[in-house]
Amino acid sequence: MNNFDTENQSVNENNKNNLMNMTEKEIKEYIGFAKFKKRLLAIRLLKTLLATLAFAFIACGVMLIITKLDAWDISPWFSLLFGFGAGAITFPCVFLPLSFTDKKLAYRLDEELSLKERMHTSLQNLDNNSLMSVLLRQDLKKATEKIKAKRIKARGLPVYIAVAVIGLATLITGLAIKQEKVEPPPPPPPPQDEAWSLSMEDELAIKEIIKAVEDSSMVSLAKEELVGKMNELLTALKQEDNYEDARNLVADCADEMDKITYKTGSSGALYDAIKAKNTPFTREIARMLTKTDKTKYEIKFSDAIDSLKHKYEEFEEITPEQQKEMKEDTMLLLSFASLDVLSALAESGVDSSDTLYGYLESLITINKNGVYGIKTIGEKMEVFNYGWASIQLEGLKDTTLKNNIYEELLSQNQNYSVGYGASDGLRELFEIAVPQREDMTSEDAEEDDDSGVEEDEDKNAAGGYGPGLILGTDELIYDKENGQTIITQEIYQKYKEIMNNHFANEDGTVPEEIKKYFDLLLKGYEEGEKENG
Amino acid sequence: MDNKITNAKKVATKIDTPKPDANQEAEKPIAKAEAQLDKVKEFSTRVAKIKDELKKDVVGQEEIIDSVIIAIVAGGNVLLEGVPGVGKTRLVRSLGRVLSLPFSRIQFTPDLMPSDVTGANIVEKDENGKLVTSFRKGPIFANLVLADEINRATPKTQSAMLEVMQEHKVTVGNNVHKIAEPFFVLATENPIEQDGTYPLPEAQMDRFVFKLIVKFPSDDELVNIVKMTQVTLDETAESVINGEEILEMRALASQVLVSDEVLMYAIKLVSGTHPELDSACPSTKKYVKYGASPRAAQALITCAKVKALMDGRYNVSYDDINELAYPVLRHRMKVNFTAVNDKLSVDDVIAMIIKETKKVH
Repeated sequence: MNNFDTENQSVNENNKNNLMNMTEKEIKEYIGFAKFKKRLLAIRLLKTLLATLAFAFIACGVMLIITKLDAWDISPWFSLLFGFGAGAITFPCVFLPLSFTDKKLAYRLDEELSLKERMHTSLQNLDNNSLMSVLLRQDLKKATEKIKAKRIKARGLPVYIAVAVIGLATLITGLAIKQEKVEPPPPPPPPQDEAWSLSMEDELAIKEIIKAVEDSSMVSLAKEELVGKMNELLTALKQEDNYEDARNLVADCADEMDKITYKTGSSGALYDAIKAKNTPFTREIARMLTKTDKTKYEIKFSDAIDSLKHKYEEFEEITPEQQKEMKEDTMLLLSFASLDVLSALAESGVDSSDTLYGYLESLITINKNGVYGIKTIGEKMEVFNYGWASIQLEGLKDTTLKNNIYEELLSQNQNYSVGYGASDGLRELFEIAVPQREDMTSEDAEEDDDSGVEEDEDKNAAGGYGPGLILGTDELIYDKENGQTIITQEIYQKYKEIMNNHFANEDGTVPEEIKKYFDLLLKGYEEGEKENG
Repeated sequence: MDNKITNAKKVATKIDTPKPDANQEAEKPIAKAEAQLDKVKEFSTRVAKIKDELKKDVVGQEEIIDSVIIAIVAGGNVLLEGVPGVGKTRLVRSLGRVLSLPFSRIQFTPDLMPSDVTGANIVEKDENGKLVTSFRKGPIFANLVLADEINRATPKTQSAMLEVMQEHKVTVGNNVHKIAEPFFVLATENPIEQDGTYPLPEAQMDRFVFKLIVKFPSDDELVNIVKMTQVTLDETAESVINGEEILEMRALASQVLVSDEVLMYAIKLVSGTHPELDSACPSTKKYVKYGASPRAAQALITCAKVKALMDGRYNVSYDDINELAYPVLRHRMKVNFTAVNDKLSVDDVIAMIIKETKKVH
């Protein structure tokens, strides 16, 4: 139990060591505290360094892995910077918590080195130079000088080393992964000013359009024309090296195709059907139908007008008598859509469920006297083109023929869809605007057609003008006094339009004779109006 | 002329009287320190001598001897409890011889009066034949008092010991009689015979710095005891120290350093024995009826200092406090029926309290 070893101690020796007059720092050095503190500081620094490197490596490695696997186009320096930032944050976060006070260290030394509270008691008595305090320092010195500083264990150091190794492994992994090359985007198409050539895709698309027309049930003549036009276009496009020129070729071709398609709206089948019924009326109609070729027919007013134009073309002015005569002649032209036709329509007893009939019916008005009128001259002409023949056929009560006609009419609709579809397809292929067209066969056309007719208070419920007026609309007014049906100015205008459109020159101009005819007609009418007041 | 010269010489002598040497002045504290260091050196020597001498008369019981020495150096009283024949009385008598302290033995019996302990005023004739009153000192007036079977005395007689043990003086009538230092009371108790005994009151128990349990000797120790007593029953220990030296040792031990944390630990240990306090340990709340007094904390620190110095250290450690907790606390706290039911002794509960008391850092 006696652990005293004061034999070699003396006050003189103490004096030499100046134990009683030491500074705090000297005392700490003397009793061995300083060397352990240095050791613990080194451990603290080592742990901090390991943790900092670990997290820096982990951050850098993870960033490298992410950027490489996800093929991010980020400079490797970013990963380095990221790791550096992580390390900079980690350093104080680890270093500060690992701090310790002298007191804490003293407790730890007393416990780990079994100093029996010598260390922390001595540190508490740094300014106490009593005998016991001095003897305690000597005793402590003797106890600690045999103990190496390394005996202070670096608690948890293996964990730090392990984390650092993991960090290093992560970094190595990140460096080792090869980044997937990001293929550069395809080069943009050359500007259109540069040399152009028909691509394989466009060629195939055009060929598909051609095939679609060929396979359609379009009227064969038109079909052949369309196919021919498109084949010519294809040949031309293959030789073309300028995009704008190619577009122009396509636009022109599409316009040509539209014209061809438009002209399919004729009554070829109608002619045959009409001729099948050999009546004076139908013969007259047939006469009016000019057969241009086997399948194509046109109702040519020009013949009727021609017969008149020479009659009036020299006229600068027209006398009332002549005007009257012109009216009569015009009426003749309109006779097909006149009362007679309407009567026949009413008497035909056609099934109202027939859509075509319904279309016709929508054009017709009837007054209480049973007189029929047609609402618009424009549609009347369309009716004239399609409907009256159908009516006549209906009158024949020949279902088969009727169906043939309907089929023909429907096929004519199809002609439009095929023909216009082909031309629009070509336009879309070369990004050319698709023109707006009216649906010539749509019932909506009738609804949409506002012939500018304002509602007239004099009209009756049927659309007519009360007793004495023959037709219900203001397009055709029955002149009671004269006993004649009068074409109003508006009707003339529309009629003129129809005539202009129907008989327009290829360059779109109205033939002079047509123009003159109607001018004279209208002029006479206006003067007549003025006379009548 | 000569007178003038003589006077001048005298004046010169006065003038030329040299000033005190600076070195000599500096050597004074050094000399003082040297003396103290010698005492530190002698401390362990003295303790060793005491032990060696006691071993001559007392076989084994080394822990008891150490504890008794600690208590004596600390200036405290000791209560020895043990079955008859384990050497309690022999130890104390040997101790008295070794310490060269006037020794007296008081055998406590139920009929023992307080005046039998402290002394009394008696009327006697002086030289002239006059009747005078004089104080006849009782057996308590000794440096080392053995209070044998103290629990057999009546509470009245026991209380007579209180003042003496605490204040080291006797008051008889209006007179106060001081007892020479050092003064120790070593009391013994027989734990077996409870009939006709008077348990020591808590106040008196608190005056004992230690309560030591003298255990039955081991077989080897018993063999030695028997062999030794076959030779002689006399105590052969010799005096190796005197009272003054004990006082010097006490003064030296009081200088041993105690850190604030160790001191606080001792305080927490003592306060942890009080079940009514918030700082009580869980075991205290479960097993303790009442805890130790503040004297326990004083005893712990004082005795721990002595122990540290005996161990060759100049500071008190936690281990010192823990080892001394048992003799210091076991007679100052009382366990409840729960502990009795769980067959836990006071020492068991103290061990729990030590375990549950955290070191102060």
